[in-house]
Amino acid sequence: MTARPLEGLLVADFCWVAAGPVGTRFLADAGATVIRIESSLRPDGLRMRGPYKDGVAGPNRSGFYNNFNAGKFSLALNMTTDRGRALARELVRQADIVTNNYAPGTMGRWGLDYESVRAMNPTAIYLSMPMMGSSGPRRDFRGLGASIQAIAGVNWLSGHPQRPPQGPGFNFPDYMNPYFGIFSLLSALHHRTATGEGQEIELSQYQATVSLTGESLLHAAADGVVAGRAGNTDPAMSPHNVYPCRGDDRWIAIAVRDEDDWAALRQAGGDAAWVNDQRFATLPGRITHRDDLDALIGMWTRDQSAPELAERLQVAGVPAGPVQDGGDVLGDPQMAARRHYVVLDHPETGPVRHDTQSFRLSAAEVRPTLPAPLLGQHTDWVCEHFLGLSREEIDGLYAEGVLV
Amino acid sequence: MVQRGQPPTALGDVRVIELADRRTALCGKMFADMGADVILVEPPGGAEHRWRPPFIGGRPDPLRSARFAYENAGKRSVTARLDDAADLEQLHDLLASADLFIEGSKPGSLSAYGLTYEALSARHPRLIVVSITDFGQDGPWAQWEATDLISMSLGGVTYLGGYPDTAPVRIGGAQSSNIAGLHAACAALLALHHRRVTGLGQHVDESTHEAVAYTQEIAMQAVEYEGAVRGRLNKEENPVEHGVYRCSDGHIICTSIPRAWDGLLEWMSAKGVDISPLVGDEWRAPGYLAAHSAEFNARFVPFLASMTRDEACDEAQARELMFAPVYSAGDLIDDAHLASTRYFEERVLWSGAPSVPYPGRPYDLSVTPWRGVGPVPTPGEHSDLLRARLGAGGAR
Repeated sequence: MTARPLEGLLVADFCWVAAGPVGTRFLADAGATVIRIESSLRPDGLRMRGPYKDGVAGPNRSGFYNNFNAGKFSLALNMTTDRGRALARELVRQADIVTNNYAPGTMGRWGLDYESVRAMNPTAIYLSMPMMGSSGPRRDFRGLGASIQAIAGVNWLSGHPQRPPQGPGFNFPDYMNPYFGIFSLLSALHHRTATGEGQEIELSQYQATVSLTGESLLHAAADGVVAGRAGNTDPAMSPHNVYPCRGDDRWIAIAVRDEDDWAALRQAGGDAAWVNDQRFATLPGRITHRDDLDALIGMWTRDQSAPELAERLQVAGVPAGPVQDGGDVLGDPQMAARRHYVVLDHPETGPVRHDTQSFRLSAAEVRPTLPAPLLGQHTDWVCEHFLGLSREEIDGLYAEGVLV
Repeated sequence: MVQRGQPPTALGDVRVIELADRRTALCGKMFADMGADVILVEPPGGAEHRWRPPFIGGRPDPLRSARFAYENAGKRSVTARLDDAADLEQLHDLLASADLFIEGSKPGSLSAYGLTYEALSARHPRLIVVSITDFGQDGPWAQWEATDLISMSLGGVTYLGGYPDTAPVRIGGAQSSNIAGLHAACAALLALHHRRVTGLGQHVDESTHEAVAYTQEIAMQAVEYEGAVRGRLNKEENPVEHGVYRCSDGHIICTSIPRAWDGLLEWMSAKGVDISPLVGDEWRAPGYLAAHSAEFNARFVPFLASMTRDEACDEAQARELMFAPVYSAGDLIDDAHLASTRYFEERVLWSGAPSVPYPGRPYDLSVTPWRGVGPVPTPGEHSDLLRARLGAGGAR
C-alpha cells in the first residue's frame, strides 16, 4: 500500500499562483519529487494572500499556498543573475518534467524555452500553461481565473437570466485547467516510457476552459441556438432548485429526475399545498409552472433543517442535499469516512487539515505526506543533492544574492 | 490506432471499455482524444444520457443530445444486456482485450452481474477499473442519489455562486461530471503508469463529492485557518472582487484594478472623464477602493457604458489592466483568437449531416497531437465488428 506511482520522477516546477501549482500538487501526491523554483525577491502571489493561519499574514502562513503546495520542495533562486539561471538550467537538465504557467516569453528570457531545454535534455516533458496560448491576437492578454471563465463562456451560463453574468464566484478554471495539464503530461509520460521520446505540451488555459462548455458550443455551432443563464433550473427536471431552510443562509438542493422521485417527494410533503395541485401532476406541468412550484416548495422547506430534510428525502430515494459551505464540507460525515482531509504539521502553522486528491487507488498511495515548504526551505538540500555544490560554494551563493 | 501518414498518438496502444454513463463520458473522451480505442458498452437502444436535452435540431434523438455528441464523438459502441449470460461473456472478452474499464454505477450495483472489482481483478488481473461515483465506494452517503445540482451543492461550490440577495446558484454547464471526470482520467493514467512496475491493474475509486470539494478554492482553508466562512459576494459593479460591469453591447469582468491605476486614470482622462477625485496614492492602498467604490463607480460605470466589450477590453489590456469580455457560445464561435489557433475543427457528427465547427483541443502536444476524430456512434454500431473479431481470437 505504500507504493507511489511517480516515485523517482524529478519535476522542475516553475509554476506559480494557483492553476500551475494545483497541477504539480497532483504530481507530488503521486510520489514525484517536485522542486519549486521560487524567490523571496518576488514571492509567489499565493504566499501573500490569505487566509493566513490565525489571521496573521506571512509568506509561510497562507492556507491558499500551503494547501496546494503540500509535499513540494522549495529552492529560492534569484533568476535575474547569470548564476541563478545557470543553476536552474542544471536542475532542468536532470528533470523528467518541466512545468510553468508564465506568460509567453518568460521562460525563454531565462534560456529555458523548450528548444533550449530539449538541446540539453531531450527526454524531458515540458508543460507550459499560458493563459491564451503562445500565438493568436490575444496572446498577451492578462488575467486571472476569473477573467478566463468570463471570456471562455462559463459566466455567460452561470447566474440568473435577468441578472448580470455573475459567474462561479471564484477562479473556477484554476482548479480545472491543471487537471487538463496533468492528463496531457501523464499521456506524454506514457509515450515516453514506450519510446524514450520527450516532448513539448502547450496548454492554452483559454481553450481548456472553453472545452468545459462544449455542450452549449456544439449546440450553438450546429443550430445557432445560444444558451443563456438558467439559474439552478434544468431543461428536463422539475422541481430542481435550492430552497430556503431554517437558519441563516441555509438551503437545500432538491432534484426530481422522474415520476418516481416526484411520487416520493409528494409522499414526504404530506399535506403541503403543492402535493395535490393538479398543475404539477405531470413533468410538462411542473416545467410550465416551475416558478409557482418552487415558491410553494420553498414555503414547505423554510422551517425545516436542511441536513435533516436531505437525509429524509435521500431515504425516500430523492436526490437532495444541504447547500454546504466550506465549514460544512470540512465537517461532513462522508468526507470524514473517506479520510479526505489529511492533517500535516507545518513548522509555522502547526497541524492543519489539507485536501487530499479526490480518489483512492487500491494498490498505491496518493496523498500528501509533507506540508508545503517554507520559502527556500530546501535550497541547501537541492544545491547539495542535485546541483553538486559544496558547503563553501553554497555559502558563497547566499552571500552573492544568488540564493534568495 | 496509428493511421498511415498521421503522427502517433500518446495513448494509441490503450483500449478503454466504458460502461456508458453521464459520469464516465468526459473521462472516456479524454482518452479517445489522445488516441485510445474507447468502446462504449450500452444497453440495447442506447445509454440514458443519449436522451439529455438540448438536442441538435431540437428533436429528441439518440445521436443528437448536444452533451452526448460532444462527449462521445470518436468512441465506438457495442450494446449488451448485462443480465444476459452470453452478452456478459462478450463483455468479458472485451475486458480481456482492454487496459481500462470505466464505469459510473452506484456502488455495489454491478455485483448482480458478477462485476465487482474483486471478481474483475481475479479474471482480468491487468485491468484497471475506474469507478466514478457520486460519493465514492464507501462512507455513509455512498448510496445517496445525486445529480449535478446535488453534487455541486454538497461539495461546497454552489454556496460560492449566485448573488447576495438570492439563493446560491450553481455553475452552468453541469460541471460536476467534468470535475470528477478530469480527476478520474488523471488517476487512471497514474494506475496505467504504475502497472508498468507492478504488472497488475488496480481500482481507481473516484468520488465526485471529494472532487467538487477540492474545487472550492479557499473555502475550506478560510474555515481551517481563520474560522471564517466564505460566501457569495456582490460582484455587480464591484471594483475589487472580479466585478461585472456593463458595456454598450454586453458585460466585462474587471480584476486587479488598483495594480494599473495610473493607466486607467490616463485612459479615462483621455476619454474626457473628470478624474480629479480619483487622483492620489491612497487609491492603490489595500481596502481604499473597496471603501470608496461608489465614488469610483460614479465615473467608471458611465465611462465603460460608452464602449463595446471588445473595445474596452482591448484598450484596457494595452494599458495593463486585466479586463476580460463575458463571451457567449456565439461569441466564441466568432472569436478571432480561437480562429487563429484553429480551435474549432470541422467535423461530421453523424452520416448524412453537414459538418459543424466542433470544439477542439485543450492542449497541443508536439510529438503526439490531440486528435478529435470520428462521428457519434449509434447504439451498438460496432457490435458486429467486435463480435467477429473477438470470435476469431482477436483479443490482443
